[in-house]
Amino acid sequence: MNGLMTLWADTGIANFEWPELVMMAVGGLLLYLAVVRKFEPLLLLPIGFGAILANIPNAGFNDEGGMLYYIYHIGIETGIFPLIIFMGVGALTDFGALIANPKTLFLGAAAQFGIFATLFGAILLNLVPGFEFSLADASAIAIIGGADGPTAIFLASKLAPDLLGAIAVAAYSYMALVPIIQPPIMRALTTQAEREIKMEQLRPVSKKEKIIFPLAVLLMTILFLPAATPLVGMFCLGNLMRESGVVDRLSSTAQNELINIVTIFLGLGVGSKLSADKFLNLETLGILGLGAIAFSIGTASGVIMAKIMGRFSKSPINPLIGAAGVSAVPMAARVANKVGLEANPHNFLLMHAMGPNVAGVLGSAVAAGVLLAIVG
Amino acid sequence: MDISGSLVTALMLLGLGMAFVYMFLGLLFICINLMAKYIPADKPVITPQRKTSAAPKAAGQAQVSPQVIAAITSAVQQYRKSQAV
Repeated sequence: MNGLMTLWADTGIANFEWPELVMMAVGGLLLYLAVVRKFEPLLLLPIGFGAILANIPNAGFNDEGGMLYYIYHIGIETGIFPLIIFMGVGALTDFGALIANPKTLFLGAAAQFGIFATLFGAILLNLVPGFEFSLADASAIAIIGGADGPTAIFLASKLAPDLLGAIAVAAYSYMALVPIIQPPIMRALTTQAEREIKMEQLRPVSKKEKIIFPLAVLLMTILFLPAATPLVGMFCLGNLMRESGVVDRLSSTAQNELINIVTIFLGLGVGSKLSADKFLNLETLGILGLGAIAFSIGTASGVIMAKIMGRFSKSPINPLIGAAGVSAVPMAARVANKVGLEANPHNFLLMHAMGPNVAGVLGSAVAAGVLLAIVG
Repeated sequence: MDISGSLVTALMLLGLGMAFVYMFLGLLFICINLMAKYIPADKPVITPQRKTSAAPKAAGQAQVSPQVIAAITSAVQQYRKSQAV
């Protein structure tokens, strides 16, 4: 009888508490979004599953010695997983469109306004009882506006590890929601005639330019913003492996096997941070709200910058491509292309939007470096 | 730190951050333009193919045309003669 009681005391049913159940339901919701709605499934599936595992009573996944504890400790606390992912993203990125039309760099820069503007929102939320965001917390939340998962996780792991779960979930959720969040803002800020603007064909970019580009970016980061070199450096390494053409095996590994393996562990590690005590509070709601604001401001400022540039530029610029400045590669560029096609079925903006899109990746890495250098 | 102090810091971060992002990407803009100016473009790979595909056409035209023209001319003349009779 005693043995039976001990066994009962060890079952999940006897040990469940409602916050853990709620968090498992949150994990289930993420799985639903990934499996049924196909929202960023590569990340939301392991994150959702990690959230369920992390909240199993008596399983000890998150205790010292537990699997998720080590995954988080080794890969995310140290910042290594997001950096390896960034190397893979570098190996997947073709800077051709940006090099062919370097003006689009300024669109990628403008879209980072969402990050810095959201700092105010996060600090003002402290006026509401229940919120206590420090400047470091506010910076980590604001980076959601960069719409770049690895950058957000990297910065959050350095500045606000306690908020990492909520920040990562918000960042990836909004990236999945790009096709829903962006088009209304893009349509509101542009006229039909502006959306119909056709852009000039891009010039061909030589192989040498593509090889020198990552080295130039790295050199500039070394000179001006060493705090961003972990992110930019890994990104440039991946890109150089791709463009040099001499290490195809490494490039292929970085953009396939390695990024896939690390994505599994990154997802589980982020999921492990979705524990009831850290997630079920008012601050999470605040983070989700601020993330949406950051994203919207970033989109709007990209479009507005493109409109201003279009006024002064000799070659025509379709303002829709400005919205792609918020990284979220390549989803944001596809959205710009789609909205452009709605206005003019013969106007393909995809390649033009890839310029600001990859510029946004660099821009948000630089913004993260600035926040890290000043606030960190 | 009180909220107004934090807001001032945030304002400073906004100005400094955006200025820095623009400066960084602006310098990159200059770099890319310099690269475009001084790095020669890749030699187009298609050129030799065009030459080979264009050459036989011209040669073919030169070879065939006198005979064909002669044949057509004589055929037309014969036809006209037969029609006239």
